Amino acid sequence: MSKLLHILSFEWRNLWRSHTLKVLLLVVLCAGVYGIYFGKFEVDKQDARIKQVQQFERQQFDSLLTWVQLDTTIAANEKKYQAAVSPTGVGWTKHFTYYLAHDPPPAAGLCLGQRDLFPAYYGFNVTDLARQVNTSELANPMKLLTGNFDLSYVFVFLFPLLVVALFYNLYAAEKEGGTLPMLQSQSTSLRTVLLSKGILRIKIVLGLATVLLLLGFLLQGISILDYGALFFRWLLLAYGYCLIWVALMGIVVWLRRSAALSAMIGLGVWLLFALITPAMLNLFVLANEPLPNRSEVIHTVRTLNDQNWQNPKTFVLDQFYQDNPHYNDGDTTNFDKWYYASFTLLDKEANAMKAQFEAQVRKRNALLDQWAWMAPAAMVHEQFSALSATDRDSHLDFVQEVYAYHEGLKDLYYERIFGGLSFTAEDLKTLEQKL
Amino acid sequence: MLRLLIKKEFLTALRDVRLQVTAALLIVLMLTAVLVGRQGQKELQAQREEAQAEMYDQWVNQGEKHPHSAAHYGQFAFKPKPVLSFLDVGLDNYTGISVFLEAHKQNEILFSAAQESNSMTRFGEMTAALILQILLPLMVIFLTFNIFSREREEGTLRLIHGQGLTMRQLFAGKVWGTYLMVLLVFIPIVLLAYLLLDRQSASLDPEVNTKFFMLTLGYALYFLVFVLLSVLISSFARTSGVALLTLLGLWIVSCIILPKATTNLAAKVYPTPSQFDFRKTIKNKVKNGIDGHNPSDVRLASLRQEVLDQYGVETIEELPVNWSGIAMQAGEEYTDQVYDEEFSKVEQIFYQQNRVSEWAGFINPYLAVRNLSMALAGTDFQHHVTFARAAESYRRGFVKKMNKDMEVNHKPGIAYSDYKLDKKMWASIEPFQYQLPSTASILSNQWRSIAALVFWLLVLFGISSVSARKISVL
Amino acid sequence: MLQAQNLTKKYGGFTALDALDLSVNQGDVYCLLGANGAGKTTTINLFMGFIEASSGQAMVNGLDVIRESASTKKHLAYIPENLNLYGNLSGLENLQFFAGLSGEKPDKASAQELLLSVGLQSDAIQKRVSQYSKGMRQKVGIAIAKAKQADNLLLDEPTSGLDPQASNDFAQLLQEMRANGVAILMATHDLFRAKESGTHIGIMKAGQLVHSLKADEISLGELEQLYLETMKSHSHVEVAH
Repeated sequence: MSKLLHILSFEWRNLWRSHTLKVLLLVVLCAGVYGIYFGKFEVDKQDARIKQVQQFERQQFDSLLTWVQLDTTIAANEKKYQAAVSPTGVGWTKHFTYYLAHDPPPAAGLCLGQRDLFPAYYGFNVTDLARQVNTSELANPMKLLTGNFDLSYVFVFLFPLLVVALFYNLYAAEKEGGTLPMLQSQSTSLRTVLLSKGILRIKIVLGLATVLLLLGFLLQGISILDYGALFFRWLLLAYGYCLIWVALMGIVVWLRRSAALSAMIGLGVWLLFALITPAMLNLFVLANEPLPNRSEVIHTVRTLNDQNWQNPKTFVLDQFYQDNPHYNDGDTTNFDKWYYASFTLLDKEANAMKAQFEAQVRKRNALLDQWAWMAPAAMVHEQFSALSATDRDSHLDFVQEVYAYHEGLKDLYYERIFGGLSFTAEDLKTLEQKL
Repeated sequence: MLRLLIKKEFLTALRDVRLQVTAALLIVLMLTAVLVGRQGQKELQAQREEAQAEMYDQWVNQGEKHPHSAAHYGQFAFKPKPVLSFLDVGLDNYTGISVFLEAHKQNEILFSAAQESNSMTRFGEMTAALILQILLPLMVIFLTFNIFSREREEGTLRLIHGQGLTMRQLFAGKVWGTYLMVLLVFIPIVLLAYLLLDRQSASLDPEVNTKFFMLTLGYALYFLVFVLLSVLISSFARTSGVALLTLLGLWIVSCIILPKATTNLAAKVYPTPSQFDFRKTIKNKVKNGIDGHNPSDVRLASLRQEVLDQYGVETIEELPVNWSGIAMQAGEEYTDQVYDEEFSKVEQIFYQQNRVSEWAGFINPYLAVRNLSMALAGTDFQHHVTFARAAESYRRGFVKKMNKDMEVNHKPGIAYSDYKLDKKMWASIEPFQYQLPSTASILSNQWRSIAALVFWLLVLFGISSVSARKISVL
Repeated sequence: MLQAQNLTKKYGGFTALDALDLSVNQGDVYCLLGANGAGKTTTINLFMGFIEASSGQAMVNGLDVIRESASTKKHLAYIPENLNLYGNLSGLENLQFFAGLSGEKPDKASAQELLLSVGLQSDAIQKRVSQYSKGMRQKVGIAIAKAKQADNLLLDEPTSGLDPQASNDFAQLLQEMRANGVAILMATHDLFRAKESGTHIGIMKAGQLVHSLKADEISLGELEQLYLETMKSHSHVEVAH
């Protein structure tokens, strides 16, 4: 033990005095801090966009709250009053648009994940959802392609390189520097010396990871006290990943090749696991297991929509009443009832279709997951995004929320539509709470 | 003399086991990438063509209905997979692949492949481009990092120098010998890819051969840049270790770190507007007029007066034509005008962002070849925009035809539900056709990247010719 | 005490060292002479345990160097032909580090004293070793040997490439160590140094110890003659083959 400490302290001095270590640490530290800063910038942008639509929504709803108080004896107020109280909207299409936002989760700034590919909010009214969820945020595809320079990128891509750079000449430096005979002539075995040198490097790598993660939480204003578990899971994942690379480099050192060859082998391993295997998997799965054609959902929806307005009222309402007996009052002639029942039927069909497509996509992605172990870098990145709730599944969960929210809204609206009622000021208060 | 030197360098490289292994690996990777990539492209293209044909079929057989209902029924445009996209997948996984075309609305191009996958997609697809841009330079590094220091250590450099050869000649020999070795790996793949080119899609891209040739040339220049740079650095490095570390460091910075940093920086310098603002601006401008002083109801009133005057009547009912059709087309055109203006603004911002990385090609040759390659393969932003514009113009075409028919043939007094058209009308709309931009327009759009590559070549040749004399023999 | 018993090292069909019997007692300086490839360095490497003997035994203070590797190395110090130390560390730090590896880390004051005692200038002690000359590095090597209180010292052509002054300084240090009862085995090409510093001289050829004699039994001239004749007969043997 004391020998270990002895070697650690001298090896540290030796490493620290070579500029390589300082440069390496500085580069990775700067990259990490930039990543933290950039992640914060992106999350702030998402936040600002969400705030913008929420403000807009609030402002619009405030007008409804004013309009519902208007004196309808004045003819000019009639239209506004109707807009506020009519569950069917004014002139069919002037429905109130509700927004549901996917607020960035606490650690989103550390791993932006797949969030940039999806809208951070959906805006929709009480008519069918199927035609309202196909939106996206404006994004430069070039930026989506190159991806985000966030902390998870630094961990996933640059830390392995740091490990390679620190470990490749663990043995070769002694051999090529000529200090090997002097080391071997001491009573401490070479293995102990190399092991201690390795431990020092592990400490440096894990230390830097810890510092960066602490900085990440600190600079992004994520409270470590409140999100302690999250912090430790991030830390554990980062540690585990670094240690995998240490183990790989351990094998390279064990081969006892020259420094140049060891560096090349190390870089080769990095290339293989960070670049080649994920790209190969993508080639085989992405390019050769084509995704189902999503446009068919849109096509189905438009065909249904096209047919709906030609369907007789009895046909639509009979189906609707079957699914929603609580609205069944036997009326099959009312225009509003027919009109809104049609939307529900449209959504029902579209959802079934959508679920079918999602199942196909999942099946294909399962194929990717099955081989993911071959690409530890991609696997760990996926883990980071799952930890930070910025992966695709988190977005799909959000879409589920949107559906549930829409259903809830519909209950309020449909009760009035099928009851032939208008919203009261009280009702608007209930709706306001849902905002 | 030079030929002798080149031959010597080439043979030395060829007989190095490590290089044989590296080159063999690269060739195997590239074979896989090209063959599997071509297969994937074929399938995707078939899928999209099929979908396009099916959707057109639906349009033609939509049954009898009012032309405006038909315009609402709408059509689809599918983005064809460019012929060369199997060599460089570019932005293809991040751009939408299809767009629903309907009356009144410019829909977004939706359903990118990236949205359907997990993080793995973000690690890129193995294509010839990835191998040629990122992996082949590594082989160059392995070939060259000790190209001088080894001879210095073994003393053969002194021997050669003693034969009366100048360092400049030796330098040239090493550059061209290495380059020859690179071409040995590069050329077979080029030939294979050329044989695999899809000859059936001539209508999609009539200039595919020219583009392929330019693409090959672009890469050949890039390799020369990289060979020159590596030989130059290794000639001045004190030891092979220093040369290797410097070269690998440069490689990591230029191929791994800088591309991401450049794009991220560009997004900060030229912020992307939000979809919400974009849509709201369009809505407001349509409602209040482009200048803000010409609201839609005023526009409509003045149009009505114009039409009434034209036909010399007092009321809409007296018009021999359908007023709704005219009003609708006028509204459509006004919206188009607003949309074009706003869309151009966003497009310009994206172009500005992309231009940062094009200019960065002068610092980082990898970026220059990446942008050029994507453009020639038909998978860059320019191509995405060209497709978007083609689809939008197709939409305008058929919507206009529907509105026009309504204006002329749907006589006043006939109920909406009573005026119907049939298959003859629907089939008179040609299927959506799209042609990739010409080579000339691609090259002029990418002049910065081309200039960057040429700049690198000139600078490196310049430095080499000045400094090759100063390479130390000892 | 260094002892070789029937020590043999074969590489395939080639015999690098052939049944060497040798014994170096405390206070002895045994100089091994011989052409390149005669087996001098093999002998030293076998004593250091860098390579394993094909047969026979190398022993330090009566302990087998392979089986008792750790404990024999405590009693062994080694100075290779080209003694390299960590360039980023000072002479003082190198001394502390290497001695520490053998469990004898001297404190700063005594380490400094040691370095001064081997003739290192006091201003050089704190300087990085990358600025040291070869002679200075050899001195640090001696200091390391002294610090770990090794009673056996193995030297592999330590004076090759040293200037006469440094070479002389080095010889004096060896004498000092000898006087302190250290057993020294040194491979060298330098007949003069061997005669000067050695108590015993061995001449090797083709893996065999051909002559072994006491240094005071022979004059420098006779030694040179004996050496040259041995080498000649060596070439005769080759011709005969």
